[in-house]
Amino acid sequence: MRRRSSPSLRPLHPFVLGLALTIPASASGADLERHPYLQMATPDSVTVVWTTLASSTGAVHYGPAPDQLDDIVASAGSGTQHEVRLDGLSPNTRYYYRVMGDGEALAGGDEVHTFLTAPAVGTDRKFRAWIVGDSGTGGSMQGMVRDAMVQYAGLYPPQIYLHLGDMAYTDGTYDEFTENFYAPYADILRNTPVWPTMGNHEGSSSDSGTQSGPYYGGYVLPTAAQAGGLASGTEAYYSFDYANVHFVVLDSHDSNRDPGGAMLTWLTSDLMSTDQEWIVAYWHHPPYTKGSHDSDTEGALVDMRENALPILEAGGVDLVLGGHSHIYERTYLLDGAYQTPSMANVGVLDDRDGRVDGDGPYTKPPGLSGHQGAVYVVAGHGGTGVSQDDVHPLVFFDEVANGSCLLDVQSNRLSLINIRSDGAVTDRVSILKGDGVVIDTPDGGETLAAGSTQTIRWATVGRIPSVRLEYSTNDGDDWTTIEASTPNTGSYDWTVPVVDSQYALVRVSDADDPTVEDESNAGFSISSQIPLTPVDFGHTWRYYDSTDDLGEAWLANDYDDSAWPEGPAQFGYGDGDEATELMDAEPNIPSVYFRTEIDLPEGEYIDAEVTARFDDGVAVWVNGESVFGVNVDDGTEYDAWASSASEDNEVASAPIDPSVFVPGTNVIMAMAKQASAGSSDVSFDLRVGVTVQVDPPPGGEDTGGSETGEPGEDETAGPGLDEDTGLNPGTSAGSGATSAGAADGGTGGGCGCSTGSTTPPWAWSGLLLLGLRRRRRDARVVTRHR
Amino acid sequence: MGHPRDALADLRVAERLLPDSARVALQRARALASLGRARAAERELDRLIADGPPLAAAFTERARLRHADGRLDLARADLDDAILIQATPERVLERGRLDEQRERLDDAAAGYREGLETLGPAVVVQLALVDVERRRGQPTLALEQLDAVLALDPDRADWILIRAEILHQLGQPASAIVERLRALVEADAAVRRRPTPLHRVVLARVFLSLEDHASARAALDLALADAPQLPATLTLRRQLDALSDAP
Repeated sequence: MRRRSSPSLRPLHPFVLGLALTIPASASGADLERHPYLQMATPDSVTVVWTTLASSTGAVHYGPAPDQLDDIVASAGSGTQHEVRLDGLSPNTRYYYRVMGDGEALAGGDEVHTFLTAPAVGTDRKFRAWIVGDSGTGGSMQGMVRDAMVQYAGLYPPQIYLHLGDMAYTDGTYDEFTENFYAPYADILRNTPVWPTMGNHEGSSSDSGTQSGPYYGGYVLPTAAQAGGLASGTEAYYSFDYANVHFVVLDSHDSNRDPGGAMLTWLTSDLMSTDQEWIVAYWHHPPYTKGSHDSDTEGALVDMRENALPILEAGGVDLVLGGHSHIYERTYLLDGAYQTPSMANVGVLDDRDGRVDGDGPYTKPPGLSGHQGAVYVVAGHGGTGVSQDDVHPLVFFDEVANGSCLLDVQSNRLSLINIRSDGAVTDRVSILKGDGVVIDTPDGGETLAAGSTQTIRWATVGRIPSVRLEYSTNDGDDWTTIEASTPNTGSYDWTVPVVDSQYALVRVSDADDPTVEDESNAGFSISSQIPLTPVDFGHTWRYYDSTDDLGEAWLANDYDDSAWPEGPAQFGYGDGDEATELMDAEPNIPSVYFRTEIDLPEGEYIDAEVTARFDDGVAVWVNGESVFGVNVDDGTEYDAWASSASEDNEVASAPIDPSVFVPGTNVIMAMAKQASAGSSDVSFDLRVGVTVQVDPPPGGEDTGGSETGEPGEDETAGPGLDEDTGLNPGTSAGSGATSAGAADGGTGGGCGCSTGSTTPPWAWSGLLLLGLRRRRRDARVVTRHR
Repeated sequence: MGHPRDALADLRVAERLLPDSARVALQRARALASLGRARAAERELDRLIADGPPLAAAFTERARLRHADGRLDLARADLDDAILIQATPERVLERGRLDEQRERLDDAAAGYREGLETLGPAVVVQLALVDVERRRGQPTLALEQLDAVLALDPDRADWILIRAEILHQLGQPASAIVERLRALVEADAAVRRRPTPLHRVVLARVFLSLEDHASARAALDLALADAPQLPATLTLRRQLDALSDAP
């Protein structure tokens, strides 16, 4: 029944729940306006910032545990914006904090207000950075992009947040910053220091020349090399060190972009001084794009390419990030492509795909050398509308869909993935310096079924005849050998141990030199309880929309429905969103029949749930057993109308008895009901989830390692955050970008396998991991592999 | 500004909607300047500045217009006002370069020092100050300033090389040679550690300072092979070419 839309019945995302549950009520008049966020994090310091609606005094209590916040630093005087720098901290150490206003607790003192200090500069501790550009609409897509990253990262959230500008549409006003940046990311910002660059929309209200306006007012950024690099004397452009990476942040919008200008003079000097293994640079206006902007015709983009890139590439930059253009674009490995216009193959140093599961990672000499190639990424797809004007000749992969990127750095390996707003990972590029190993899968975020067979896949560069394979179930505290030495074929079928862990890793190393190694960028889950989604929204059903009353015969498993037509959900008519249109009879028919067969693996079914999108009524049976119904109080006979009218595309969800399912073939039957003879629309779509408890295979326990599955004190993974957010990394997608391949085991690396497939990388044996399938959202998606 | 005519048309609309907007007026002045209508641009800025409140960007823009047609005193005064409102490395350098152009090196040095007091240790301003102190015959002050820079990165060969030049200026040739040799060690180590064109150019400069032109040329050629468009490589090539051509 067509009515005004109402909120869906889907449960709140855990991220939102986390926010709702962790903001304590303020007892003072100084209520929080912007919740605490972290700035200028270094190995021994961090600045906590928050704003209050009324002027107040401020202080931060901090310590090693939520109930040990014994150190106190007060902000200077009273005001509404509070910036408190905590000094004397230990590197790579977790702290907890509480912010105070007028002596009352405003936020924190709990498990979720916590931060990890940066690792000591120069150490090759692995870390993860979140990359977002052009996000600040405050709209639902911004939230979806954020949630997709949060869900993918799971228990391994990013340690730092790089924002590429345009974080507060439309004019970067104070209120727009509050509503479109600080509020939507509050749960991330309280843990994750953000390092921004200014976009043109911020430039409407903020001025680099006067260091004033909401952008400069809100952020606390280094002017005197407080976080590494050389002092720039301005917050408009700066640099900082994190682990073994030197990050350079330029201002392409509002600072002089001339080669002899202060910014590029400083850049040259800054690059000369760093000895970090990697250099990552970012600013707003990208040097290579044909998305919603054109780098061949627009001044700021041309300037940055022609003036900044020669310096950066001479200094050994490895990765350059930009926003502004509302698209995801990623180039080949480039060098010297400064001319205007950009031309195909001019400046392409390596025309392979840079994917571990494709042609192999891009390779560079160890350390920092000039002009050995850099990858350029446009990530201006963080929330606003996406578009593309043309295909850029130097771009290997582009996608006109919203999303964000995660950067993972481990010693001499750097990887970047693009996470679309629907959770799919659509691009992954890796750079390897010197000889080494790069793991493709499992690389973090996956859920593996205990006892199943999984393919560990990797690529190598250098002469590595044999590799050692290991796994950990406690985030690397302990390692169990899978194979001490096996030929370096690039893949290995691994029987996953029967343990439950959310902190599992694999490690692949040179069998003759354990220092040449790689481990999963982030942890994956091993679960003996596997959530399957044998029927998801969009599923293909047989259906029967006719004036015929089939009685109860159609509810038999062996009913012959082979003559029924088949089509994908959503079914219906009258709304314009149907994938398969049903008969719109005059008058309406009261009921439409649906059937589908599913296969389930052996095991004990411990939970099951049905979620229906319907209009106006729906009933569901499993193997002939009635399990679910909405608005069917008047019966499920063919000629009974729905007992009530529903909203358009109403969604309802309920647990069902899992014992109705059997191993092997099951039949799901459903009936969609119309409310009346004159109703203008009908809708049906269904999702069925089943959780299977996997039994250990004979001897399966022997494949397991640690029984605990819990990490120790290593803070990299950020243990504890999941308890606070309630995130379930088991629903995160793995790399879905490419098909599998094998390394050649010799020099040169790569696997020579196909690219561009969206086939899940796992080769399953015995179990289907349907639970990894994600619900596709209705974002416009155009994907191009070239 | 890529399309100043279009921008002007848009700004006329914006002006009707926001008649008192300083931002619109400033953009209008910039568009007029881009079209070569300097007088109209300056009138716009005059109005903007007279109407207040003080806007650093307006003073900076007007300084550029005045600088361009030779009214250097007025340009300098505008930059003073802009820096008084908000010092940035760009403005401090712009004012200093203007002073240097007028050969008022004392003013330039004072301006850089004043800027550093406000900005903190901005490396580009510190190095500009070192340079102007040397040029105005104050090597001791230059050395003092350079040592503050070197404290940030004691192994920087290009800065050590500047130190050698200052010591030479101070009449300490032996110390200068020691510093040049130290620069050579550091430059060589830096190239081994990080063989980038930026570092190779510095190595070439050090060789040049030691009058080893062949080694300088070799180091520069390696830098040029990688970075033919890097301004620093081109400058040094011109220098070496000039030395080769000299009788």
